[in-house]
Amino acid sequence: MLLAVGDMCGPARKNPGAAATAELARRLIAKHPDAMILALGDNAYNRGRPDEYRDHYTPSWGQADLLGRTWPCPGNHDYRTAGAAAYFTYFGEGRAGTPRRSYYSVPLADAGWHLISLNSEVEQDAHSAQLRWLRADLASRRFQPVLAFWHRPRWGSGAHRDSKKPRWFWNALHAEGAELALAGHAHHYERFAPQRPDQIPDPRGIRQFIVGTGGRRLQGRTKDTPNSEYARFDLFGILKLTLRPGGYRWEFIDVDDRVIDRGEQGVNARGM
Amino acid sequence: MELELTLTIAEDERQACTHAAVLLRGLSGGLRAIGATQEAEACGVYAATLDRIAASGECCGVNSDGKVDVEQAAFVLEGVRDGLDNADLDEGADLVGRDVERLNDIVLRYNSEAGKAVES
Repeated sequence: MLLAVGDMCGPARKNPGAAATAELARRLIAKHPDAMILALGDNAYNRGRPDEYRDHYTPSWGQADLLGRTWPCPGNHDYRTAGAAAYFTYFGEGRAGTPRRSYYSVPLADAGWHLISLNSEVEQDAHSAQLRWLRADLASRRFQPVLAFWHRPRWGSGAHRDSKKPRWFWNALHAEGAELALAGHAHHYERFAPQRPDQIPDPRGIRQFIVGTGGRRLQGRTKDTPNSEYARFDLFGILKLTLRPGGYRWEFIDVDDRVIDRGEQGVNARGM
Repeated sequence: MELELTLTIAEDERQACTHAAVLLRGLSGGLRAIGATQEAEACGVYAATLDRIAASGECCGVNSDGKVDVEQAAFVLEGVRDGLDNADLDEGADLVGRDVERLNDIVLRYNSEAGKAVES
């Protein structure tokens, strides 16, 4: 079981939900002791400095019971410290990689899924080392269903809207039949229908979630985006994903323990 | 950590910097006129950084603060883009949106080079 959320910690005035989402994670972990946490970037505002990780991340999401099960990706605010140096130091090479090789994968043997953390804050185009690594990693994976996560969403109806850069990730992931793409960056929750990289809805495409609801001030809708199935702009919360070899189940749970959005889907035919 | 890097800035990126600087200076003037002095000064700083990048030619030295200025400028222009879009001023929204993408390209290139620099 995975708990995914981004954009969590910072000064209380601007990050009013961080402590509550950390407590929600604890309550969910009490029910699911094997749960992993995916931190979707912008973990410590505003510049991802060492003191911001110490003063803002450590007291809530950085406590041992949560940190020890956290697998991160970096966000744009982490990169306001050159090379996201504090992010890499805080999470360590075994969890975050290094400034030069800032992406990694984790095989989830029990669930039978392949988990990939990518870095949307550095170059990712056809000639990049990251994209070459991604293609090689996908080609050599043990488990077929793929969940990838990074900070900057490809599509979005809230702040920042769409980002063209991650299209390279989408193309590579879709070519290998990936199932899920998770992102933060925009401070709202949004679920998309499975779609192809060209935004054509397709049950065998990739389903994207935006979960920028970890604590930073929430942001509103700025546009309507094709294939957006559900969005909330008014709640802090966490996406809970239950993975099994033949499919996945999702629940977006707010800090009052209410299940706001839920659903289930089998893995697509290309991914099996 | 202050890290100055020499980046290759493409012609369309320099143009985007010029466009963005013009918009930010206009916004800065407006903000100053309504009494938002601190925000006016911030937008003026972003515009100055973008002017310097635009004027530098193909190779430009950018430090950490300059990179953040470019990113902040992109955030401000996202708001301009969204506002123009809401007002159905579509062509302007598209033009500003394109410039935002080019500014983000500069930010990501700086981040990539910074990652190599801090590890070496």
